[in-house]
Amino acid sequence: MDVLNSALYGFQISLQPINLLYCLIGVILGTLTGVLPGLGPSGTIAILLPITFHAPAVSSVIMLAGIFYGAQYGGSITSILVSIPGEPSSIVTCIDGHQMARHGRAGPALGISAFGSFIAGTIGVIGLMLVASPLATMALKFGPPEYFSLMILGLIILIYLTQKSLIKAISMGAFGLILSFFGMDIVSAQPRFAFGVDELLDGVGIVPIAMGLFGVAETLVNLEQTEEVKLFETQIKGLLPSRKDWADSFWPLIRGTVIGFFLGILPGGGAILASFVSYAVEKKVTKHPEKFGKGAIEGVAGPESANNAASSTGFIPLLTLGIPANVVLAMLFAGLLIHNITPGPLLLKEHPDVFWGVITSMYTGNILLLLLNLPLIGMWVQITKLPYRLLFPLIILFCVVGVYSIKNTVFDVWIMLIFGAIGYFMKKCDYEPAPLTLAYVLGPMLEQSLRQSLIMSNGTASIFLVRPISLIALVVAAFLLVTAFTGFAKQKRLQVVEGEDPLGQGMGPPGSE
Amino acid sequence: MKRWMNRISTLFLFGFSVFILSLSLRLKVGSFKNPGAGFAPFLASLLLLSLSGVILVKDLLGVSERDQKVPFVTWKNLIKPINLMLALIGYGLLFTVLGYVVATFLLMLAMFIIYQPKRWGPHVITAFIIVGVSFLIFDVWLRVPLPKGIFDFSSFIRSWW
Amino acid sequence: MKTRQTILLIACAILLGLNVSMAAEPNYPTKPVELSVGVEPGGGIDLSARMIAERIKPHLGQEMVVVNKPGAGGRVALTFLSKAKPDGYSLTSVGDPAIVLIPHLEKVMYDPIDDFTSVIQYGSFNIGYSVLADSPFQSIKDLIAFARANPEKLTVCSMAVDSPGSIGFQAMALHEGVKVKIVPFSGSGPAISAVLGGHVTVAGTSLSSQMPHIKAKKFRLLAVMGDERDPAYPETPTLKELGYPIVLESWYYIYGPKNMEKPVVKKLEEAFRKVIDSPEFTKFAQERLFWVKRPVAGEDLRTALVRRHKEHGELLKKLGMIK
Repeated sequence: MDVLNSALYGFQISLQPINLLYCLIGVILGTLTGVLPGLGPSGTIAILLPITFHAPAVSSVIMLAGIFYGAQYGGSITSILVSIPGEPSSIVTCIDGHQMARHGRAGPALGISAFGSFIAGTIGVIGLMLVASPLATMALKFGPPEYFSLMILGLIILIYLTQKSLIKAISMGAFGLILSFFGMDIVSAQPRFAFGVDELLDGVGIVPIAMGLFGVAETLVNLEQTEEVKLFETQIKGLLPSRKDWADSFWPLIRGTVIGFFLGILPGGGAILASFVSYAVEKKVTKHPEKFGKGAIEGVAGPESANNAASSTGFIPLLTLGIPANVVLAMLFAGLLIHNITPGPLLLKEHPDVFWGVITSMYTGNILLLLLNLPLIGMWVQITKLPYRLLFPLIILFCVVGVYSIKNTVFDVWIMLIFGAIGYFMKKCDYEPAPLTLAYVLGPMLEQSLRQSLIMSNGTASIFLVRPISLIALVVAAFLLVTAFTGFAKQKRLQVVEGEDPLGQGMGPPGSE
Repeated sequence: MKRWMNRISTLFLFGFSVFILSLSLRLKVGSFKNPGAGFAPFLASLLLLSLSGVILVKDLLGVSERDQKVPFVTWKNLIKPINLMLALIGYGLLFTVLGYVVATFLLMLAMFIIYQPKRWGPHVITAFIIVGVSFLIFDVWLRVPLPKGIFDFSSFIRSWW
Repeated sequence: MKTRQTILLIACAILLGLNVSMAAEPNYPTKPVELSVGVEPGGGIDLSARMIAERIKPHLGQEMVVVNKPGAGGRVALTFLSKAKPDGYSLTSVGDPAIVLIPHLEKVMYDPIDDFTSVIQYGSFNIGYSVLADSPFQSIKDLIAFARANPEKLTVCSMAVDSPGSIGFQAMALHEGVKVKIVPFSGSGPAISAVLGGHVTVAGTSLSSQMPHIKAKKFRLLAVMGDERDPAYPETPTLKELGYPIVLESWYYIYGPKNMEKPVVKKLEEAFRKVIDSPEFTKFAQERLFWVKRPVAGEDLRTALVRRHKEHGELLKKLGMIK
């Protein structure tokens, strides 16, 4: 098979000691940047790019690529341990991952996350080898209307992330959308909602918001307890996933990989969208939806696989079309250019060594990451043993430095504090942070594709329904929306009969305090 | 307490959406043919407005939230969170003035004391250690830019190397 | 007690003293310099900036880190720059559009010349108009004919709504009395994807960004918008030849906030010049299709920009795009 030959050729390159070394450096750095919020992959790569100047082309790209998908591994660690997402694609992992940690199951959570990432990443690379070109062509079919409908679908899926009130979740989504519109309008360069504050011209910022809502708010709530805060069950129940965990996670892993694989090709969407689509899917197909939110391992296995698969296929637009999907890949692009290699339609023909070398290195990279991360699980789990009086100051410190290091402005720290306060109120009143954060991430793309589509269609909204991909996405979204409401309604009716009220909209005794 | 908190939250959202709605009208909503800068915010704030409105109405009509199985907070519970918030606000104000090292030391100290008001001694030592180590990691090793304030430890240490 | 306090006081004094002595900045630069770029990652402009940033380290002694601040044809990045500290650590790679073109058409939040220090000019990007290789349009004339028969149906995109590519096409349309639609994108990368996917018909981006696709026979280049034919595509006519008096070049410059110190500017200028004049950079530029003539810098650059600003204003008036 032609692909097999190419793969062997690629391995000849990527298994050379120097390339293995660069790969190792890359994935270690990637994991670090994933763990530390604010110190994102782009900042790291920026600092490293000069090194690539002196290194051979393939090696540099291998290293930079390693940083990219390595970050997906690291991001889940803090999500699980302290419910602070290291990467936006790990936000969803906070939900069930952290709950698992609280029940003493941090080890299995980290383990399944690492294994899932490995399996998904590997399958992703294999898929990449086999179908890169056709996938790229497929990705091109997504124009503004398709993106818009996909974003709408993504927003509707937010509903499935909620544990509590539906209407409150949607309002959080709307709130997140509005926040994403703060800043300079990309089309007209008008400042929006900046109130004359220069720092707001760049928008509010996902990291301050996430750190505030997840880190600071959580700490504030935990401090309410008058006795010693015991965040984690002291009994650590095993360091690795059990047989049952594997059995439960098998299908979520597969589904997550498929979801991530396809969503990763879309420039700009990728890992984040994939992670929470996967979560929603798992919640919908499981036989025990009530487990979700309390430490369901499916809620970790699925999303973590999805974001890793997505990071593998995220390379496709770059390698085949020469269009980097995000800043990190753009730096990779720059790295290649420095060595006079132009990624694009001709990369395969002109520099097959780079193409296949990089792709096969992703396979070795994933193995290295697994070997790196597994032994560290024991170390990470020890963190759960720290007394809270030591842990929470460290968390706060971590958040502050992470937030400050992005733009070196105290303003971001203030934003974090404001959202810490907002997040506190949200937690007390059953408004959830995940829908807000995810809507915030999707907002800009949603708005841009909406405006582009309307211009393209001269103002007729039918453009979204006339084009097949867009139509499918919207139909699925509508379907999900309807089933969400009827599903909830049914649950509500059932539970009212039993005396409980999961929706918070029901009829408990009035005046309860 | 809970009803009060809920009302405030919903009112906040409601007020916020009204505010954004009016701002987006001023930003030129444009038309379907030519959506302006205010187009999307207008729609989103409209959505938030209606939803928070619904929640408000339900609350006012006495259809209350579900019973909390755990007792809600009393003022006693709020001491530590409020103190933390105050400490953080102070930190924000002093961060650039005093620089990372000093301000963080004070913050760490404050956080330890908030949690365990009894023993100051060990707290000072732990705070010192944490700040020192974190400084070495973040500033010296990782080169993360941290504010220097009036005490420039960073150049001080570097000049020694 | 007293001795302890005295010791503490002395320690503080020493620390403060050391701090004061460290306060002066003797050698610029002592930390990495930020170079912001007003487009999304991946276009020719983004890459040329990254290339320069890469190569400048030995000449400057510190790294130059590229940060993307996309939006509105570079206006977003420029607005940020106008508020930055003139300490030499914030620079922007900015092009003609945000300086000499857009300010005539729309209100901008800065004075394009006076709010900034012009450091050096580093290259120009010719704009090309392409369609998909399998599209029925063989020439600009075909596009105009289509637009005439189907008003507001022809979609054109460029790296920004107000880029020379967009404005050039609009000027052409105005000249011919037809109506077209400019679809906003922020960056040539997304714009080219849209054309490749068939969502938009015409790409009016830099030749640099279109080159790989023209080479791979996915794009058909219909015209270039320059004073003369582009040396890389000698068979492709210019808009001027086709009868449209529209020449909007796209020169790129390094800008800093206003009131930067002269020695800092001088040092930067020298470092940039070394990079731009180097044979590797010239080769890179040639391969990526952006042209480097003898770079103008400093006061000369400022004068040149003032002149260009005026000329573009007159061109736009002539084209009827402004009063």
